[in-house]
Amino acid sequence: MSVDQPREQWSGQLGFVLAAIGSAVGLGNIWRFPGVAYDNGAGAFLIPYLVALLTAGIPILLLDYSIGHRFRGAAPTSFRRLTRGAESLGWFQVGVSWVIILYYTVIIAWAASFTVFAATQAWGEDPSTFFFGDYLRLSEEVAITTQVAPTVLVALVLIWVAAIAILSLGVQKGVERANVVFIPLLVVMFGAIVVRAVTLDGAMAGLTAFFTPDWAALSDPGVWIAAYGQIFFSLSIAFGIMITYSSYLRRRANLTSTGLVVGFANSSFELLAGIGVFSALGFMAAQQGVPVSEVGGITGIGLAFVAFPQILSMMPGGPVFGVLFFASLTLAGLTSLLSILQVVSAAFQEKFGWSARQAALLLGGAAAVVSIALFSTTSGLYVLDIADKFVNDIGVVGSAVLTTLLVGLALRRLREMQAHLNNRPGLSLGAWWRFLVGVVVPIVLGYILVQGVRALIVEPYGDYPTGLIAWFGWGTVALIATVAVVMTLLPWRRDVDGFVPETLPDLTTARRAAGR
Amino acid sequence: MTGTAVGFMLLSMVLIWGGLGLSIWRLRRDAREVGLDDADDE
Repeated sequence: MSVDQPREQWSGQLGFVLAAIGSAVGLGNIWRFPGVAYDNGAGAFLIPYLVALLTAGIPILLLDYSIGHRFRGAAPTSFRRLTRGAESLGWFQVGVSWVIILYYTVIIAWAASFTVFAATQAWGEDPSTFFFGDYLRLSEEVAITTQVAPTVLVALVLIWVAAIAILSLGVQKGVERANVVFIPLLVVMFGAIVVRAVTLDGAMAGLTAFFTPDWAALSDPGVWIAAYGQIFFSLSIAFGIMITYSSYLRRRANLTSTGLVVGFANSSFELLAGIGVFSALGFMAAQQGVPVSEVGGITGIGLAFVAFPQILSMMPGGPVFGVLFFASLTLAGLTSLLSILQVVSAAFQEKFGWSARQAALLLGGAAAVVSIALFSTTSGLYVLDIADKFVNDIGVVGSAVLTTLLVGLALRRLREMQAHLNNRPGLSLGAWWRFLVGVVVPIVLGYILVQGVRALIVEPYGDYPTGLIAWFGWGTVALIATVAVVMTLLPWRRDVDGFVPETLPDLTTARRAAGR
Repeated sequence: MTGTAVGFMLLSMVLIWGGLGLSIWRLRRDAREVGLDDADDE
């Protein structure tokens, strides 16, 4: 969007809903949720999970919607219009997004490569050696190298070209159209995999392990924290995405009912993934003659790129379902990547008056260079692991805590946000929403933040060398904070402060009644 | 599968997928009532 052009909009509610679902449904839904649920009470995890969804996930999602929609801008614009001093918080969220983009792209590149490998089951008899050795060429010494893993490099370049091309087309023609095609395709492909998985030998044992409740887990506070963490990290909330996306909605858009659809759609996909993944793990356990509890690698990279190739090698029709599985991972990742890129792109478009194409080429190009330099090398996995841990545990959680404390405690503007959400079609929110966002969420996420920071200080993460943790962990967080301050100090190329938010009848009435 | 596991699987499906169905129903009902597609005012 250049200085003189009107703000872009989604073509309608459906386009926004699909894009928001595309953002929320990502790699974590497929490779994180099943393992977290299984490790935290299995079937009983449903209870803390739903409580977390309803008391934190959807309420923060609606807070993001209200900020972006009321102040009509990406995170820096919206926070500045909320209160001038808060622009840095917006740029902090942009910085967090930019760092996530750098490494998220390489995971999508791995998934895209494996979509090709799956057709011939190129991993052979030993998927672990193939992934870490032949494909990533992971250096044995845990240190930074400049040696490039060629196959990773090619895939990463292709993903960057695709992402920049889509982003340069803008919100409606680029991001929305991609999601309108990719999300239904993802659901159909992943649905086919799940149907195949539940009909495999041993699938029922896997589902029994996944759904049998361990009631004792409910008395463990760690299980509840895990549920809040899963919901929080899964929904793409509190680091600018939903603020940016909701700013492109029409003024009369239904925000509250849309938030429910997005929240439940994200959890629905997680449940589908849990059924598919544990059916497949049950099959693998049966083939190996061991109980499901003894199957290793049930989360993350190990599940996707080591355990699943093993399973695919054993199952009938493995090449076809392998292509579907890794293509699903690629699409789930790509739709999330587009949303994170839009956070950065929109912020720079608004501050410097750039067009979508300029922002895509300049910011995407810069990110591509850094991403390729850091993550296509044989030490890329180490840097990725450290950056991911610090940016999520400190950057994303810290941003959420600051946002809720700022709006709820420091500015006391939750009533205004509630009135904005209620001043349009959809479910009406009561005082309970302000209580959840202003009290429950800061306490729970504040606890998660303190615990996370404490753990990172007390013990070096993952036994990595201190230098690597200092540079790519603490250094990354410090760099994001510094850049946020610098970006705030740079002048705006457009009139950001002349904006007048919508008058809210509910709020006026409430203030009049209170004598203010 | 044990009866408990089946029960919890069904309960999860009803609560989560049912929640999604209800949310979509509510969104469509809101849209019908206010004619949201015509409400572009920007």
